[in-house]
Amino acid sequence: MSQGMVYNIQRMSTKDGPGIRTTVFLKGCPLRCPWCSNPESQHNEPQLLYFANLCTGCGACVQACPNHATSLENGLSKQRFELCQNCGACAEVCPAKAREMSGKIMQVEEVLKIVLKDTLFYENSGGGVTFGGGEPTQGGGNGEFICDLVEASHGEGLHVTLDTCGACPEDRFQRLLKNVDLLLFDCKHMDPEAHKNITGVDNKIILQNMAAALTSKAEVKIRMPLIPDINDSADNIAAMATFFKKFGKHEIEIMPYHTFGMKKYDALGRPHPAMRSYTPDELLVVRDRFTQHGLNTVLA
Amino acid sequence: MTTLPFSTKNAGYAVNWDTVDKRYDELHAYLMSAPQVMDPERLRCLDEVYEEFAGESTFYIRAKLFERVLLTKKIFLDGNPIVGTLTGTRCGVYAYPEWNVSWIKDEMQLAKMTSLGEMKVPQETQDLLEKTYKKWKNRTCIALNNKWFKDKYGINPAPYHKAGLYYENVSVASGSGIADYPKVLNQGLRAIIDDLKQRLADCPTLLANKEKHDLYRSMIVSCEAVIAHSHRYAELAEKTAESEEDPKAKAELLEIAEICRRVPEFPARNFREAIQSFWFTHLAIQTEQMACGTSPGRYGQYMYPFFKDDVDHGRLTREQVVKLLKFQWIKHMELAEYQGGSYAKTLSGHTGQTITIGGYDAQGNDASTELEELLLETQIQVRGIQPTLTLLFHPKLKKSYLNKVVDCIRGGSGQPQILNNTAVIERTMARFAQYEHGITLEDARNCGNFGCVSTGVCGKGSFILQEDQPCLAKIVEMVLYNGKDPVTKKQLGPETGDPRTFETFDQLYDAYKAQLKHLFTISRHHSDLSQMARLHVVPSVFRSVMIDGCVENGVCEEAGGCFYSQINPIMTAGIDAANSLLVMKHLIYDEKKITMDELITALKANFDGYDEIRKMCLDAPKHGNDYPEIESFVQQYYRDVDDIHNSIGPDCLGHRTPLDAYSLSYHNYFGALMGALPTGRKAGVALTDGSVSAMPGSDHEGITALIKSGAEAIDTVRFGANHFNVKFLPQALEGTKGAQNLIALIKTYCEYGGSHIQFNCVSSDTLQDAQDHPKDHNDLVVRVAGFSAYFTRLDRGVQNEIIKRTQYAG
Repeated sequence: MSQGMVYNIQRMSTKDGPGIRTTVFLKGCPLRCPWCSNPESQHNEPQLLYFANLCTGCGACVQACPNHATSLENGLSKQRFELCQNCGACAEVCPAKAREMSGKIMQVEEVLKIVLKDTLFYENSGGGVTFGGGEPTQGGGNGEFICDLVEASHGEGLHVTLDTCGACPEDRFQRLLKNVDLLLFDCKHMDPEAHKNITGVDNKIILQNMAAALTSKAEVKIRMPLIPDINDSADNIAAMATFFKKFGKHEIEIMPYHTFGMKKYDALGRPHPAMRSYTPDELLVVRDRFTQHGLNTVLA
Repeated sequence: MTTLPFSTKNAGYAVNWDTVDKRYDELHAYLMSAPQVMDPERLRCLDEVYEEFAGESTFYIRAKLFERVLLTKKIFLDGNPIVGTLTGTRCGVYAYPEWNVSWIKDEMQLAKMTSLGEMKVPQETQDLLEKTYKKWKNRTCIALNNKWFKDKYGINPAPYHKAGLYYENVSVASGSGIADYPKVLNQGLRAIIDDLKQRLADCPTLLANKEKHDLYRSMIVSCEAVIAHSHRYAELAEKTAESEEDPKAKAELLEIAEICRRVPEFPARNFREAIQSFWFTHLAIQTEQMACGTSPGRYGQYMYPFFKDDVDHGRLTREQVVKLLKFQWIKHMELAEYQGGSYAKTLSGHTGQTITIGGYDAQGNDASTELEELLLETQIQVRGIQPTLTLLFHPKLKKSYLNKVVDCIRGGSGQPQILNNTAVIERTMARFAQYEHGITLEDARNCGNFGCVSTGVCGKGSFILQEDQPCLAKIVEMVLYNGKDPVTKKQLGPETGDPRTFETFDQLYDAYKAQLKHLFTISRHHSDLSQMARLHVVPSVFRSVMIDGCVENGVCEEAGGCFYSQINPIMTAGIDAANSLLVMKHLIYDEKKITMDELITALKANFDGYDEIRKMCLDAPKHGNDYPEIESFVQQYYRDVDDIHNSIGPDCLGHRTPLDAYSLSYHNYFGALMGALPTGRKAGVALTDGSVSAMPGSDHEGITALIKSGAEAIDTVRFGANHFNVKFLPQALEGTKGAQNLIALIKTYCEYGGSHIQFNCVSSDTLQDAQDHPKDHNDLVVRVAGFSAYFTRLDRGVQNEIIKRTQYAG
């Protein structure tokens, strides 16, 4: 079977589908949404995360780094990300766990072995396995990895959830649909041009896959990252309503933008996204727009 | 159950409901803020009675002491409609010096802590304590225990305790499990006295029956004292009513007087009488020996018929029942104890007044009641530390009932803790199958939670026979130092060889087993004599009346008189020991990353200057992560501990004794006495809590991995207990889904064979501490929004938001 890049396997995951679940996070995503709360998931290669607030200034990383990317300044370790080759030598020796590597190659069998450990928990809670990312249909390596993972999980009788943005070749998506019970399907913007401007990718294939999902036997939950002034306009919401009502879909799970992922941008040495959060009143106004177009919103 | 002679009155009670909330608030506020005081009354009685009755049998002297306290202590009313307090002072504490007086000499100037905070010792009490010390220093349970050990084995056992190899069990008074409360509620003490008188009259005057005569005589004295005690309250209420001008308050007082005239002497006729009868009985047991582990048992089941009848006849509403229960909760919390500083460290003032809910009835049906749901509601409202609630979990529990359980757990108090009903029943049957009279299925099903996590038979069982509580982690030190204790510098264990010369892990493990066997042997010899010392100095009289079998057999509880006596060998820090062995196996023998010499050097230096070795120690695989080879070692380790314990031979009752693997706060006490461990734990730091919990910060695979590892670590049928604390953030349990997931976790834990589990919802205080000291909370995981995160790695503003949210989540 195939292999791919995984950056986290979260057991006892409770927000990514029904019951108690294990969520497998695949690394790599074709989109570059500026609000991304898991920025370490975007690139399909291992990356160093450095949490400066946990550093004790022991200097072990300075000794370990072959690329002179770390140094001690004012008693704390400083990271020069431009020199870092993401080799992981510093994370190996850091006693304070201030440095960790995100992403490692895993075999399908390896992943499944971990997923199957909690089978009894899934059975007792109505849970299962969720594949997320990154974009699981594209991330993790080539498309075989996710197809094999989904098929093998389904073969074990597990409830399978796919947390996807839909940016996936159509034939692969059709293959996946056969073995998926629930899709948590992101809808970021209806307008192709706007979608491209924001995420770097056109939404044509995404909407095709969305239509395929909505007409398949799988359960589909639409999820929308709601970003002030980016995708909350009345026009966009009207377009969404037109699209989803065709398929008898009237409920959207919204995820209002939050700044909880900022620390990870620091840890990757990247600048923070230039976004702001909603005030409670603003959010009420935006949710009301959905209601006016006949769409219920629930907070994901 | 037979038809109860219920009250015919159909009107409500005279409780002044207009003022109950205010009175509850006042009592609660006083409890939380008032200083604890060590009351001199009991010391005075002790001095008088032992002088007055010198030469009488010990049973009789003990009964007279009990009577003297109940009849002469100052009594008062404090606005609680349930009357009866332990001491003559509000929130007072009594000294119980008959077990141990060394703290009087050693610690008089030090701060004294109970479960309610610091305790003050007034001058009069101090003077009496000093006098008591002089009289008792060579007569206490522990003094005789140690003397008798020296007489028999020629060794002074004190260094074993001092080194932290074990805790001397008889150095403190202890509770003994679950008394037969329904006996008093349904028959009344008068009927019990009549029965005792008949037995005394019928007892043949054979020389062999001398003890029986003494016991029955004394039991009658003790029961009469409990009745007279309630009558004192009746008189006080009547007298107070005379000068009370508010008609509602007056009516309540007169009703209290009427109730106190009736119970516990005669059967309770309604819930109001039953709650007072229960309290007088419980208070009397606690007065005789105020200590940890006197548990009310299946309160919500034996009180249910009274509750049902009152509710059905409109005498009480459910809301009023909860209000009364809140007053009872206050009563339980007012019972505090103090037995010296080390006791405060080992038990944190815990009093173990555990109520068991759920479980099966004698026929194997769901025994849970609607009243139990009100107990849960009371706990949600009070969020108290006593009584504690324990659910005997089984598949027949109703969904609505389980939802109430979940509501209580996520209320933040961590209650109820859960016990696996199947494991407990099987354990109870396995334990008593080897006894001469065996056990009936009905009695096994009537199991309950004794004290913290131990189990036994309600009303018929006792675990007063303790063993010294060994520290399994300390054995690691003994191995590393070839049997020579680094604290006392004495050769307290056998010479198992210099570990630097061990070539294989098996050699190391054999040395561990040899050291453990030596400790268990010493501890058993010492414990067996401690049982004799306890029986000699402080045999319980009233409590013996209250635990079935003692009256029937004419033998007190301490001599094994009740129907299902069991030994309670608590043992602590098994996970620290197993993890230490695993780390050494991994680093020294398997991976050969360091040598034994390097490890010992680093441990001696408390890892100062050995950060790299410490990191290796901390990173080495440990229990709690569902790694098959690690967990199978932990399971084998616990099996070996059990086998070694059994290889010493039968206990003082002649049976195999299942080990009670739990910690109380011994992990804290022993931790303070120990040096650094191969697990990476530094000297003086608390050891791992529970017996199957993960070492703090060493579980990385999430709660399902932890739960599976914890469930399987110990054979919970063969052992007397396991003990498992799991931390949880309240918001992880939010909503219907959170409730379902929590139930699924409990169900799965039980299906994997776990026995005890308690969910600690992480408080906002902990989160605040994590924010202030991030390096101490490296592994605290929080679900933020769409992803999980290590709390310490979140931005301060986000942390603040979560801290705030947690406060609302309750």
